[in-house]
Amino acid sequence: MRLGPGTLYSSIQSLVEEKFIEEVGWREDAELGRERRRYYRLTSAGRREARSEAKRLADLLRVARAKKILVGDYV
Amino acid sequence: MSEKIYVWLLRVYPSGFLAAYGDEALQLYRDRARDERGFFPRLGLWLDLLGDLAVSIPRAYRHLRPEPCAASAPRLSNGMLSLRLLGSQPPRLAALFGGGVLSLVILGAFSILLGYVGSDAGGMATTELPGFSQQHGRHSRLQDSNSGLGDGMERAVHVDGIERRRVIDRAIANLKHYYIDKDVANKIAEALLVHEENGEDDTAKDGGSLAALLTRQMRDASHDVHLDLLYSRLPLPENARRPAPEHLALYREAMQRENCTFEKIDVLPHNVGYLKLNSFPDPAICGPTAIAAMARLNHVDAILFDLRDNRGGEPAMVALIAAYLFDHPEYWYNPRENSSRQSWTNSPVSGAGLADKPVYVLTSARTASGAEQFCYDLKMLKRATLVGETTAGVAHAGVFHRIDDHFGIAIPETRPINPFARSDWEGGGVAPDVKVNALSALKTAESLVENRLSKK
Repeated sequence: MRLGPGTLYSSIQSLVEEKFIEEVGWREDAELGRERRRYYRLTSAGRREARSEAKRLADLLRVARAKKILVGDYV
Repeated sequence: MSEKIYVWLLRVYPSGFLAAYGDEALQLYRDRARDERGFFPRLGLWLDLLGDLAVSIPRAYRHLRPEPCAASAPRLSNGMLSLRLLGSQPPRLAALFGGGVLSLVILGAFSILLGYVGSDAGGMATTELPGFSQQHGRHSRLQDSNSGLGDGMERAVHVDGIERRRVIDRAIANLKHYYIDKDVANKIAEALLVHEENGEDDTAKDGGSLAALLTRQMRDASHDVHLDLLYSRLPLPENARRPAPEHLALYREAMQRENCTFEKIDVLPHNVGYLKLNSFPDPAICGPTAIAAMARLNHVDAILFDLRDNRGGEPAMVALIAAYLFDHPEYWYNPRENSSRQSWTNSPVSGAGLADKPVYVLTSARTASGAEQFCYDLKMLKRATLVGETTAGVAHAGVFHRIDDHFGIAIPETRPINPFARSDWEGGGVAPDVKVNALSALKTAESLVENRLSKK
């Protein structure tokens, strides 16, 4: 997935504000040498939200299968 | 080059976003620019970036929340004003300047408006109650107009050396002509001139402070606290002694409307009479009202005079009411009149039953002039218990003489005998017998009178 910097960081900003992710700090990347990176991790609220979103998508998929809109082994 | 363009484009994002993620966004751009070399990859990168900007900038602004950042504004020239500003960006210098100019304009407009309203209110006061000072040439109205809203504006009126000298010369001429003691008048005149020549008056740059300074000099030279040099922001009437008939009519009308300032006449529990009187109006107009009020309270067991809002008035009314409180004529000290036959109360008042009843007077720091005479004389004669605060301390004993449109001088022309003490209430006020806050004076007096009546 290709994300532009603006889209990426405005998404990160929204997720931080919603407390779905949190920053765990800065550190230097071993591979990239001295350039510093910021790291984020999923919070428990974020995990809950991601799970419910995935569940919603799974339900949608089940309906699509039941209605025979989607056949075969796409997922 | 292309990085510079991207940095420039990044500035379009909200400052809060840039502060938090600007470096990272640039880092991400660098990462991709490093990986995607060559004409087509670079073109693809830029198309991506422009698409990204188009999508994410509106989004960033839509999610914008005010993130306060503090910035202190520079102090203004006189060091009085210092601001802390909260905003999403530190204010620009031009904005601060613009804001400063706008504030000054508003402040200026407001003070002009205040001055206008102040002078208007002053005018109303003189038309409503013209009799108080004009009729008898006393200077209480002048003082009132001096102490009102316009104070701040008055100080702005500039007085130069020539004007100062003119005021002093006219004051001296009046003193020599009217002051009771010619020797003392000469002494005061000499002192005023010496102070002026020594340049001691140069500090007084406006009417109010010049008047205060000259008053102090006159009092120091004469030890007469009734001497007063006064300044009025409003032009003084040409002939203060004789009120115009239309002013008298207005006064009469105002007195009728306000029940001659007899605000409340009541009989409290335990048969205690209560009279709230807010001035001592002219007996020629309000005599019948006063007599009716006293008649209504004729059979009480004790009487409370509430003078907490009383700013004074006519000595004749003070004496008229006081007469009810004695069963024989008492010497009634009036700092405005030479001692004479009229200096005795007109007691006993026929049919009056108050001569042997306890009297309480409620006072406040606003109680002034004629009301202070009532307090002072009753206290000195040990006829009343004063409850409340020390009074204002203005005798208004001098007769007012106009110097010019804005200055006047109050000169005592009489030397009444004060049998009670060397000084009256000028300056120091009348101290209460029971000192309490004016607001609780009524309650305190009520419990005092209740105790006293229950002991009988």
